[in-house]
Amino acid sequence: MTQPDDFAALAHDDELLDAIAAGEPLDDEADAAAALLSDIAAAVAAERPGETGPGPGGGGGARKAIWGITLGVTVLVAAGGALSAAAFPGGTDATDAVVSAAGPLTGPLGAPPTVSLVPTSSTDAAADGSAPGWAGAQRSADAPHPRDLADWRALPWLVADPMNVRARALRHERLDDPSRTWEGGAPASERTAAYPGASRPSAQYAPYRQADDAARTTYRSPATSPERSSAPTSDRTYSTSSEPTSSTAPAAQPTSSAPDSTAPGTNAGTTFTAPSRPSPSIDPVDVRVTAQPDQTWQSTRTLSGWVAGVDR
Amino acid sequence: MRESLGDDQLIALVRRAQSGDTGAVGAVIRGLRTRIFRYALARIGRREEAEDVTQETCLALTSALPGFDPDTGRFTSFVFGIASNKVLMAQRSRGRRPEVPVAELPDERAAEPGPAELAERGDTLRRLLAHLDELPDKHRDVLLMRVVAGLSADEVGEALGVTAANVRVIQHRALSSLRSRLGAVGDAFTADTAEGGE
Repeated sequence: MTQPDDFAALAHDDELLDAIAAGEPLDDEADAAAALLSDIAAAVAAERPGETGPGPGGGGGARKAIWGITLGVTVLVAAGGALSAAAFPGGTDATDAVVSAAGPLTGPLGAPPTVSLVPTSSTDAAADGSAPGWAGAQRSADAPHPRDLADWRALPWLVADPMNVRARALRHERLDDPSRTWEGGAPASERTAAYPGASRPSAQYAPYRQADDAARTTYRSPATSPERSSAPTSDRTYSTSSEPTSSTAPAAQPTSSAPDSTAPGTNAGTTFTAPSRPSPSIDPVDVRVTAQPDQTWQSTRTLSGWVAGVDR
Repeated sequence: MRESLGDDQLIALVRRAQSGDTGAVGAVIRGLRTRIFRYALARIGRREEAEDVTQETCLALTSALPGFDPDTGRFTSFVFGIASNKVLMAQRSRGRRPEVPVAELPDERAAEPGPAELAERGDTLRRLLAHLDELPDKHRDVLLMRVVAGLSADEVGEALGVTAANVRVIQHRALSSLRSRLGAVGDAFTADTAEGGE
Protein backbone atom coordinates (compact mmCIF):
# COMPACT_ATOMS: atom_id res chain seq x y z
CA MET A 1 0.00 0.00 0.00
CA THR A 2 1.22 3.44 -0.76
CA GLN A 3 0.81 6.01 1.94
CA PRO A 4 0.16 9.38 0.37
CA ASP A 5 -0.48 11.95 2.99
CA ASP A 6 -4.07 12.33 1.98
CA PHE A 7 -7.42 11.74 3.49
CA ALA A 8 -7.59 8.14 2.36
CA ALA A 9 -4.34 7.29 4.07
CA LEU A 10 -5.37 9.17 7.17
CA ALA A 11 -8.66 7.34 7.26
CA HIS A 12 -6.97 4.01 6.63
CA ASP A 13 -4.60 4.50 9.49
CA ASP A 14 -7.38 5.69 11.74
CA GLU A 15 -9.36 2.56 11.04
CA LEU A 16 -6.29 0.45 11.49
CA LEU A 17 -5.61 1.87 14.92
CA ASP A 18 -9.24 1.45 15.89
CA ALA A 19 -9.05 -2.18 14.87
CA ILE A 20 -5.87 -2.74 16.84
CA ALA A 21 -7.34 -1.07 19.90
CA ALA A 22 -10.39 -3.29 19.60
CA GLY A 23 -8.17 -6.35 19.47
CA GLU A 24 -9.28 -7.34 16.03
CA PRO A 25 -6.94 -9.68 14.19
CA LEU A 26 -4.83 -8.06 11.54
CA ASP A 27 -5.40 -9.03 7.96
CA ASP A 28 -2.75 -10.61 5.84
CA GLU A 29 -1.78 -7.30 4.33
CA ALA A 30 -0.99 -5.72 7.63
CA ASP A 31 2.41 -4.14 7.67
CA ALA A 32 5.10 -4.40 10.29
CA ALA A 33 4.01 -1.20 12.01
CA ALA A 34 0.52 -2.54 12.48
CA ALA A 35 1.90 -5.84 13.69
CA LEU A 36 4.13 -4.06 16.14
CA LEU A 37 1.32 -1.98 17.58
CA SER A 38 -0.90 -5.01 17.75
CA ASP A 39 1.78 -6.90 19.63
CA ILE A 40 2.26 -4.00 22.01
CA ALA A 41 -1.46 -3.76 22.64
CA ALA A 42 -1.65 -7.48 23.26
CA ALA A 43 1.37 -7.46 25.56
CA VAL A 44 0.04 -4.59 27.60
CA ALA A 45 -3.41 -6.10 27.75
CA ALA A 46 -1.92 -9.03 29.60
CA GLU A 47 -0.79 -6.72 32.36
CA ARG A 48 -2.79 -5.59 35.29
CA PRO A 49 -1.85 -3.21 38.04
CA GLY A 50 -0.98 -4.59 41.37
CA GLU A 51 0.56 -7.83 40.29
CA THR A 52 3.53 -8.97 42.21
CA GLY A 53 6.69 -7.65 40.77
CA PRO A 54 9.85 -9.65 40.68
CA GLY A 55 12.03 -8.73 43.56
CA PRO A 56 15.68 -9.31 44.05
CA GLY A 57 14.92 -11.13 47.22
CA GLY A 58 12.89 -13.80 45.48
CA GLY A 59 11.98 -17.03 47.12
CA GLY A 60 9.92 -17.77 50.14
CA GLY A 61 9.45 -15.87 53.28
CA ALA A 62 7.02 -15.10 55.97
CA ARG A 63 6.42 -11.49 55.22
CA LYS A 64 3.40 -10.26 53.47
CA ALA A 65 4.58 -6.80 52.75
CA ILE A 66 7.54 -4.60 52.56
CA TRP A 67 7.68 -0.93 53.00
CA GLY A 68 10.59 1.04 51.85
CA ILE A 69 11.20 4.34 53.39
CA THR A 70 14.04 6.66 52.75
CA LEU A 71 16.45 7.94 55.24
CA GLY A 72 15.29 5.82 58.00
CA VAL A 73 12.42 7.91 59.08
CA THR A 74 9.46 6.18 60.47
CA VAL A 75 6.09 4.92 59.63
CA LEU A 76 2.75 5.05 61.15
CA VAL A 77 0.00 2.73 60.29
CA ALA A 78 -3.36 4.04 61.15
CA ALA A 79 -6.82 2.79 60.67
CA GLY A 80 -9.78 4.92 59.78
CA GLY A 81 -11.93 6.05 62.60
CA ALA A 82 -10.49 3.38 64.76
CA LEU A 83 -6.89 4.18 64.90
CA SER A 84 -4.15 1.74 65.43
CA ALA A 85 -0.66 2.99 65.24
CA ALA A 86 2.86 1.84 65.18
CA ALA A 87 5.76 4.18 65.35
CA PHE A 88 9.41 3.42 64.98
CA PRO A 89 12.70 5.09 65.21
CA GLY A 90 14.17 5.67 61.83
CA GLY A 91 17.56 6.92 62.72
CA THR A 92 20.10 7.01 65.39
CA ASP A 93 18.75 9.85 67.37
CA ALA A 94 15.46 10.99 68.62
CA THR A 95 15.03 13.59 65.95
CA ASP A 96 14.37 10.86 63.48
CA ALA A 97 11.94 9.21 65.72
CA VAL A 98 9.00 10.93 64.24
CA VAL A 99 6.31 9.07 62.52
CA SER A 100 6.22 10.23 59.00
CA ALA A 101 3.50 8.38 57.27
CA ALA A 102 0.18 6.98 58.07
CA GLY A 103 -2.42 5.20 56.12
CA PRO A 104 -4.72 2.29 56.02
CA LEU A 105 -3.44 -1.10 55.19
CA THR A 106 -5.79 -3.87 54.63
CA GLY A 107 -5.48 -7.32 53.30
CA PRO A 108 -7.95 -9.79 52.00
CA LEU A 109 -11.43 -9.78 53.30
CA GLY A 110 -11.69 -11.56 56.54
CA ALA A 111 -9.67 -11.08 59.61
CA PRO A 112 -7.66 -7.91 59.29
CA PRO A 113 -3.99 -8.68 59.15
CA THR A 114 -1.52 -7.32 61.53
CA VAL A 115 0.79 -4.81 60.03
CA SER A 116 4.22 -5.00 61.40
CA LEU A 117 7.13 -2.75 60.74
CA VAL A 118 10.67 -3.89 60.97
CA PRO A 119 13.97 -2.31 60.08
CA THR A 120 15.58 -3.34 56.90
CA SER A 121 19.25 -2.87 57.38
CA SER A 122 19.34 -6.58 56.94
CA THR A 123 16.28 -7.99 55.37
CA ASP A 124 16.80 -11.40 56.83
CA ALA A 125 17.31 -9.98 60.23
CA ALA A 126 14.52 -7.57 59.64
CA ALA A 127 12.18 -10.38 58.98
CA ASP A 128 12.59 -11.68 62.45
CA GLY A 129 13.20 -8.38 64.11
CA SER A 130 16.79 -9.03 64.95
CA ALA A 131 18.48 -6.63 62.59
CA PRO A 132 21.68 -5.28 64.09
CA GLY A 133 21.15 -2.00 65.74
CA TRP A 134 17.44 -2.25 65.47
CA ALA A 135 16.65 -5.02 67.82
CA GLY A 136 13.35 -4.44 69.38
CA ALA A 137 12.27 -1.87 66.89
CA GLN A 138 9.68 -4.04 65.34
CA ARG A 139 6.11 -3.12 66.00
CA SER A 140 2.79 -4.34 64.89
CA ALA A 141 -0.61 -2.89 64.62
CA ASP A 142 -3.92 -4.10 63.48
CA ALA A 143 -4.61 -3.16 59.95
CA PRO A 144 -7.92 -1.49 59.45
CA HIS A 145 -10.85 -3.52 58.45
CA PRO A 146 -11.91 -3.05 54.87
CA ARG A 147 -15.15 -1.54 56.03
CA ASP A 148 -13.19 1.39 57.33
CA LEU A 149 -12.07 2.15 53.83
CA ALA A 150 -15.47 2.48 52.30
CA ASP A 151 -15.51 6.21 52.45
CA TRP A 152 -12.46 7.54 50.72
CA ARG A 153 -12.85 10.93 52.32
CA ALA A 154 -12.74 9.42 55.73
CA LEU A 155 -9.61 7.45 55.14
CA PRO A 156 -6.71 8.31 57.35
CA TRP A 157 -3.65 10.02 56.20
CA LEU A 158 -0.43 8.89 54.89
CA VAL A 159 1.17 12.03 56.06
CA ALA A 160 4.45 13.32 57.17
CA ASP A 161 5.03 16.45 59.03
CA PRO A 162 1.70 17.86 59.90
CA MET A 163 3.73 20.18 62.05
CA ASN A 164 5.37 21.66 59.04
CA VAL A 165 8.81 20.25 59.22
CA ARG A 166 10.51 19.01 56.13
CA ALA A 167 9.41 15.45 56.12
CA ARG A 168 7.12 14.84 53.25
CA ALA A 169 4.93 12.11 52.11
CA LEU A 170 1.56 11.69 50.67
CA ARG A 171 -1.14 9.32 51.34
CA HIS A 172 -2.16 7.05 48.54
CA GLU A 173 -5.21 5.00 48.89
CA ARG A 174 -6.07 2.27 46.55
CA LEU A 175 -9.23 4.02 45.63
CA ASP A 176 -10.11 1.54 42.99
CA ASP A 177 -10.70 -1.31 45.31
CA PRO A 178 -10.56 -0.26 48.90
CA SER A 179 -11.81 -3.57 50.11
CA ARG A 180 -8.63 -5.24 49.11
CA THR A 181 -5.61 -3.14 48.70
CA TRP A 182 -3.91 0.03 49.47
CA GLU A 183 -0.80 1.82 48.39
CA GLY A 184 1.12 4.65 49.85
CA GLY A 185 3.79 6.98 48.71
CA ALA A 186 4.38 9.69 46.26
CA PRO A 187 7.10 10.92 43.99
CA ALA A 188 8.89 14.00 45.08
CA SER A 189 6.98 16.16 42.68
CA GLU A 190 3.81 15.51 44.57
CA ARG A 191 5.01 15.17 48.08
CA THR A 192 5.82 18.80 48.55
CA ALA A 193 2.28 19.73 47.75
CA ALA A 194 0.83 17.55 50.38
CA TYR A 195 1.29 19.63 53.40
CA PRO A 196 -0.11 22.76 54.79
CA GLY A 197 3.27 24.42 54.89
CA ALA A 198 4.23 23.45 51.38
CA SER A 199 5.27 26.11 48.96
CA ARG A 200 2.39 25.51 46.61
CA PRO A 201 -1.21 24.67 47.14
CA SER A 202 -2.01 21.16 48.04
CA ALA A 203 -4.61 19.51 45.95
CA GLN A 204 -4.25 16.40 48.00
CA TYR A 205 -4.33 18.02 51.34
CA ALA A 206 -7.35 20.19 51.01
CA PRO A 207 -9.97 17.49 50.56
CA TYR A 208 -8.78 15.82 53.68
CA ARG A 209 -8.30 18.85 55.79
CA GLN A 210 -11.46 18.10 57.63
CA ALA A 211 -10.64 14.47 58.10
CA ASP A 212 -10.34 13.01 61.50
CA ASP A 213 -7.54 14.92 63.07
CA ALA A 214 -6.48 11.96 65.05
CA ALA A 215 -5.66 10.14 61.89
CA ARG A 216 -2.99 12.58 60.83
CA THR A 217 -0.87 12.91 63.83
CA THR A 218 2.81 12.40 64.09
CA TYR A 219 4.21 10.22 66.74
CA ARG A 220 7.43 10.04 68.49
CA SER A 221 8.91 6.65 68.41
CA PRO A 222 8.43 4.94 71.71
CA ALA A 223 11.71 3.16 71.32
CA THR A 224 13.84 6.28 71.34
CA SER A 225 11.62 8.94 72.66
CA PRO A 226 12.74 10.54 75.90
CA GLU A 227 9.14 10.34 76.94
CA ARG A 228 8.92 6.68 76.34
CA SER A 229 8.60 5.92 79.97
CA SER A 230 6.69 8.95 80.93
CA ALA A 231 3.21 10.17 80.46
CA PRO A 232 1.95 10.97 77.00
CA THR A 233 3.14 14.27 75.65
CA SER A 234 -0.20 15.23 74.39
CA ASP A 235 -3.74 14.39 75.07
CA ARG A 236 -3.80 11.86 72.27
CA THR A 237 -2.89 8.29 72.75
CA TYR A 238 -3.28 5.47 70.38
CA SER A 239 -2.95 1.82 70.77
CA THR A 240 -1.34 -0.78 68.70
CA SER A 241 -2.19 -4.36 68.49
CA SER A 242 -2.46 -6.14 71.73
CA GLU A 243 0.37 -8.36 70.62
CA PRO A 244 2.84 -6.13 68.88
CA THR A 245 5.46 -8.69 67.94
CA SER A 246 6.38 -9.13 71.50
CA SER A 247 8.24 -12.29 70.72
CA THR A 248 10.80 -10.47 68.65
CA ALA A 249 10.91 -7.11 70.27
CA PRO A 250 10.61 -7.43 73.98
CA ALA A 251 13.41 -5.04 74.76
CA ALA A 252 11.78 -2.03 73.27
CA GLN A 253 8.25 -2.45 74.28
CA PRO A 254 7.00 1.03 74.81
CA THR A 255 5.43 2.00 78.00
CA SER A 256 1.97 0.73 78.21
CA SER A 257 1.00 2.52 81.33
CA ALA A 258 -1.85 4.33 79.69
CA PRO A 259 -3.50 2.08 77.21
CA ASP A 260 -6.41 3.81 75.70
CA SER A 261 -8.69 0.91 75.94
CA THR A 262 -11.68 3.15 75.75
CA ALA A 263 -10.83 4.57 72.37
CA PRO A 264 -13.28 3.23 69.86
CA GLY A 265 -11.92 0.51 67.72
CA THR A 266 -8.53 0.32 69.30
CA ASN A 267 -7.04 -2.47 71.24
CA ALA A 268 -5.74 -2.07 74.67
CA GLY A 269 -2.03 -2.53 74.55
CA THR A 270 1.07 -0.61 73.79
CA THR A 271 0.44 3.07 73.81
CA PHE A 272 2.20 5.47 71.55
CA THR A 273 2.01 9.11 72.19
CA ALA A 274 1.75 12.05 69.92
CA PRO A 275 4.82 14.26 70.09
CA SER A 276 4.75 17.73 71.39
CA ARG A 277 6.67 18.84 68.33
CA PRO A 278 9.02 16.96 66.07
CA SER A 279 12.44 18.19 65.27
CA PRO A 280 12.62 20.35 62.16
CA SER A 281 15.75 18.52 61.14
CA ILE A 282 13.92 15.48 59.99
CA ASP A 283 14.71 14.47 56.46
CA PRO A 284 12.23 13.90 53.69
CA VAL A 285 10.64 10.58 53.60
CA ASP A 286 9.47 8.57 50.70
CA VAL A 287 7.00 5.84 51.33
CA ARG A 288 5.60 3.36 48.97
CA VAL A 289 3.41 0.55 50.09
CA THR A 290 1.80 -1.95 47.85
CA ALA A 291 -0.69 -4.28 49.31
CA GLN A 292 -1.34 -7.14 47.00
CA PRO A 293 -4.77 -8.61 47.16
CA ASP A 294 -5.22 -12.04 48.56
CA GLN A 295 -1.74 -13.34 48.23
CA THR A 296 1.11 -11.00 48.66
CA TRP A 297 1.89 -7.64 50.03
CA GLN A 298 5.06 -6.13 48.91
CA SER A 299 6.61 -2.95 47.81
CA THR A 300 7.92 -2.69 44.36
CA ARG A 301 10.38 0.01 45.23
CA THR A 302 12.23 -0.10 48.43
CA LEU A 303 14.58 2.55 49.56
CA SER A 304 16.85 2.58 52.51
CA GLY A 305 15.33 2.47 55.87
CA TRP A 306 12.58 0.19 56.81
CA VAL A 307 10.67 -2.84 55.94
CA ALA A 308 7.20 -3.57 57.05
CA GLY A 309 5.56 -6.89 56.89
CA VAL A 310 2.05 -7.99 57.27
CA ASP A 311 1.51 -11.04 59.33
CA ARG A 312 -1.48 -13.16 58.73
CA MET B 1 -9.31 -5.14 24.39
CA ARG B 2 -11.05 -2.42 26.28
CA GLU B 3 -12.12 -3.37 29.74
CA SER B 4 -13.92 -0.27 30.64
CA LEU B 5 -17.23 1.16 31.44
CA GLY B 6 -19.35 2.36 28.63
CA ASP B 7 -19.41 6.07 28.07
CA ASP B 8 -22.93 6.40 29.36
CA GLN B 9 -22.17 4.36 32.46
CA LEU B 10 -19.05 6.33 33.06
CA ILE B 11 -20.63 9.72 32.76
CA ALA B 12 -23.48 8.63 34.99
CA LEU B 13 -20.96 7.57 37.60
CA VAL B 14 -19.07 10.80 37.21
CA ARG B 15 -22.21 12.80 37.81
CA ARG B 16 -22.98 10.77 40.89
CA ALA B 17 -19.43 11.23 42.10
CA GLN B 18 -19.67 14.94 41.56
CA SER B 19 -22.82 15.05 43.60
CA GLY B 20 -21.01 13.51 46.53
CA ASP B 21 -21.54 9.82 46.03
CA THR B 22 -18.27 8.45 47.29
CA GLY B 23 -19.09 5.00 46.10
CA ALA B 24 -19.28 6.37 42.62
CA VAL B 25 -15.83 7.87 42.99
CA GLY B 26 -14.47 4.43 43.67
CA ALA B 27 -16.41 2.98 40.80
CA VAL B 28 -15.02 5.58 38.42
CA ILE B 29 -11.51 4.81 39.54
CA ARG B 30 -12.07 1.08 39.34
CA GLY B 31 -13.46 1.44 35.88
CA LEU B 32 -10.47 3.30 34.57
CA ARG B 33 -7.52 2.19 36.61
CA THR B 34 -6.49 -0.76 34.53
CA ARG B 35 -6.65 1.27 31.35
CA ILE B 36 -4.60 4.00 32.94
CA PHE B 37 -2.07 1.48 34.13
CA ARG B 38 -1.69 -0.14 30.75
CA TYR B 39 -1.28 3.20 29.09
CA ALA B 40 1.32 4.23 31.65
CA LEU B 41 3.09 0.91 31.29
CA ALA B 42 3.25 1.30 27.54
CA ARG B 43 4.56 4.83 27.89
CA ILE B 44 7.11 4.06 30.56
CA GLY B 45 7.88 0.39 30.12
CA ARG B 46 8.42 -0.26 33.81
CA ARG B 47 5.73 -1.72 35.95
CA GLU B 48 6.70 0.02 39.17
CA GLU B 49 6.71 3.45 37.63
CA ALA B 50 3.55 2.70 35.75
CA GLU B 51 1.86 1.82 39.00
CA ASP B 52 3.11 5.05 40.51
CA VAL B 53 1.77 6.99 37.59
CA THR B 54 -1.52 5.17 37.84
CA GLN B 55 -1.79 6.07 41.47
CA GLU B 56 -0.85 9.64 40.78
CA THR B 57 -3.41 9.85 38.06
CA CYS B 58 -6.12 8.35 40.22
CA LEU B 59 -5.35 10.72 43.04
CA ALA B 60 -5.29 13.70 40.74
CA LEU B 61 -8.49 12.48 39.23
CA THR B 62 -10.28 12.37 42.55
CA SER B 63 -9.15 15.89 43.26
CA ALA B 64 -10.09 17.15 39.84
CA LEU B 65 -13.33 15.26 39.53
CA PRO B 66 -15.52 17.96 41.00
CA GLY B 67 -14.22 20.38 38.41
CA PHE B 68 -14.88 18.23 35.41
CA ASP B 69 -17.53 19.67 33.13
CA PRO B 70 -19.12 17.00 30.94
CA ASP B 71 -20.17 19.67 28.51
CA THR B 72 -16.62 20.59 27.69
CA GLY B 73 -15.29 17.20 26.71
CA ARG B 74 -15.24 13.49 27.24
CA PHE B 75 -14.33 12.15 30.59
CA THR B 76 -11.86 9.67 29.16
CA SER B 77 -10.05 12.52 27.48
CA PHE B 78 -9.97 14.32 30.78
CA VAL B 79 -8.54 11.26 32.49
CA PHE B 80 -5.90 10.46 29.93
CA GLY B 81 -4.91 14.08 29.70
CA ILE B 82 -4.05 13.80 33.38
CA ALA B 83 -2.34 10.48 32.83
CA SER B 84 -0.24 11.87 30.01
CA ASN B 85 0.94 14.69 32.21
CA LYS B 86 1.72 12.30 35.01
CA VAL B 87 3.80 10.20 32.68
CA LEU B 88 5.77 13.25 31.66
CA MET B 89 6.28 14.22 35.27
CA ALA B 90 7.46 10.73 36.09
CA GLN B 91 9.88 10.74 33.20
CA ARG B 92 11.25 14.10 34.21
CA SER B 93 11.66 13.21 37.84
CA ARG B 94 13.22 9.84 37.18
CA GLY B 95 16.71 11.23 37.36
CA ARG B 96 16.00 13.08 40.55
CA ARG B 97 14.92 10.06 42.49
CA PRO B 98 17.84 8.01 43.62
CA GLU B 99 16.57 4.64 44.57
CA VAL B 100 18.29 1.79 46.22
CA PRO B 101 16.37 -1.38 45.76
CA VAL B 102 16.63 -3.85 48.53
CA ALA B 103 15.55 -7.37 48.67
CA GLU B 104 11.88 -7.86 48.72
CA LEU B 105 10.46 -10.54 50.87
CA PRO B 106 7.75 -12.32 49.03
CA ASP B 107 5.01 -14.25 50.61
CA GLU B 108 4.22 -17.82 49.91
CA ARG B 109 3.72 -18.61 46.29
CA ALA B 110 1.13 -16.33 44.85
CA ALA B 111 -1.50 -17.15 42.32
CA GLU B 112 -0.23 -14.32 40.18
CA PRO B 113 2.50 -14.86 37.64
CA GLY B 114 5.83 -15.60 39.15
CA PRO B 115 8.88 -13.38 38.94
CA ALA B 116 10.31 -15.23 35.99
CA GLU B 117 7.16 -14.92 33.99
CA LEU B 118 6.72 -11.30 34.89
CA ALA B 119 10.30 -10.57 33.99
CA GLU B 120 9.90 -12.30 30.69
CA ARG B 121 6.73 -10.42 29.96
CA GLY B 122 8.40 -7.19 30.90
CA ASP B 123 11.32 -7.92 28.63
CA THR B 124 9.05 -8.71 25.75
CA LEU B 125 7.10 -5.52 26.22
CA ARG B 126 10.19 -3.39 26.49
CA ARG B 127 11.59 -5.00 23.37
CA LEU B 128 8.44 -4.12 21.51
CA LEU B 129 8.29 -0.61 22.89
CA ALA B 130 11.89 -0.02 21.92
CA HIS B 131 10.73 0.14 18.34
CA LEU B 132 8.82 3.28 19.23
CA ASP B 133 11.77 4.98 20.85
CA GLU B 134 12.73 6.91 17.77
CA LEU B 135 9.34 8.49 17.45
CA PRO B 136 8.74 11.95 18.85
CA ASP B 137 7.17 11.70 22.24
CA LYS B 138 3.90 13.15 21.06
CA HIS B 139 3.71 10.60 18.27
CA ARG B 140 4.29 7.78 20.70
CA ASP B 141 1.72 9.23 23.04
CA VAL B 142 -0.87 9.42 20.31
CA LEU B 143 -0.25 5.87 19.13
CA LEU B 144 -0.35 4.43 22.61
CA MET B 145 -3.42 6.36 23.60
CA ARG B 146 -5.06 4.98 20.52
CA VAL B 147 -4.11 1.32 20.72
CA VAL B 148 -3.44 0.80 24.41
CA ALA B 149 -5.77 3.22 26.13
CA GLY B 150 -8.33 2.63 23.44
CA LEU B 151 -9.17 6.25 22.88
CA SER B 152 -10.60 7.47 19.64
CA ALA B 153 -8.84 10.14 17.64
CA ASP B 154 -11.35 12.65 18.93
CA GLU B 155 -10.70 11.62 22.52
CA VAL B 156 -6.95 11.75 22.04
CA GLY B 157 -7.31 15.22 20.60
CA GLU B 158 -9.23 16.39 23.62
CA ALA B 159 -6.75 14.77 25.97
CA LEU B 160 -3.76 16.38 24.33
CA GLY B 161 -5.35 19.66 23.44
CA VAL B 162 -5.15 19.28 19.69
CA THR B 163 -7.79 18.76 17.07
CA ALA B 164 -8.89 15.33 16.00
CA ALA B 165 -7.64 16.11 12.52
CA ASN B 166 -4.26 16.88 13.95
CA VAL B 167 -4.30 13.59 15.80
CA ARG B 168 -5.01 11.75 12.58
CA VAL B 169 -2.12 13.47 10.89
CA ILE B 170 0.17 12.71 13.80
CA GLN B 171 -0.79 9.07 13.92
CA HIS B 172 -0.39 8.76 10.18
CA ARG B 173 3.06 10.28 10.31
CA ALA B 174 3.98 8.09 13.23
CA LEU B 175 2.85 4.99 11.39
CA SER B 176 4.66 6.09 8.27
CA SER B 177 7.82 6.57 10.24
CA LEU B 178 7.44 3.17 11.82
CA ARG B 179 6.79 1.54 8.49
CA SER B 180 9.87 2.99 6.94
CA ARG B 181 12.04 1.98 9.85
CA LEU B 182 10.51 -1.40 10.42
CA GLY B 183 10.76 -2.08 6.74
CA ALA B 184 14.49 -2.04 7.17
CA VAL B 185 14.39 -4.25 10.19
CA GLY B 186 11.24 -6.08 9.39
CA ASP B 187 12.79 -9.49 9.39
CA ALA B 188 14.55 -8.82 12.64
CA PHE B 189 11.37 -7.51 14.17
CA THR B 190 9.43 -10.53 13.02
CA ALA B 191 12.01 -12.88 14.39
CA ASP B 192 12.25 -10.87 17.56
CA THR B 193 8.56 -10.95 18.31
CA ALA B 194 8.28 -14.57 17.34
CA GLU B 195 11.01 -15.39 19.76
CA GLY B 196 9.42 -13.26 22.45
CA GLY B 197 6.14 -14.97 21.98
CA GLU B 198 7.50 -18.43 22.43
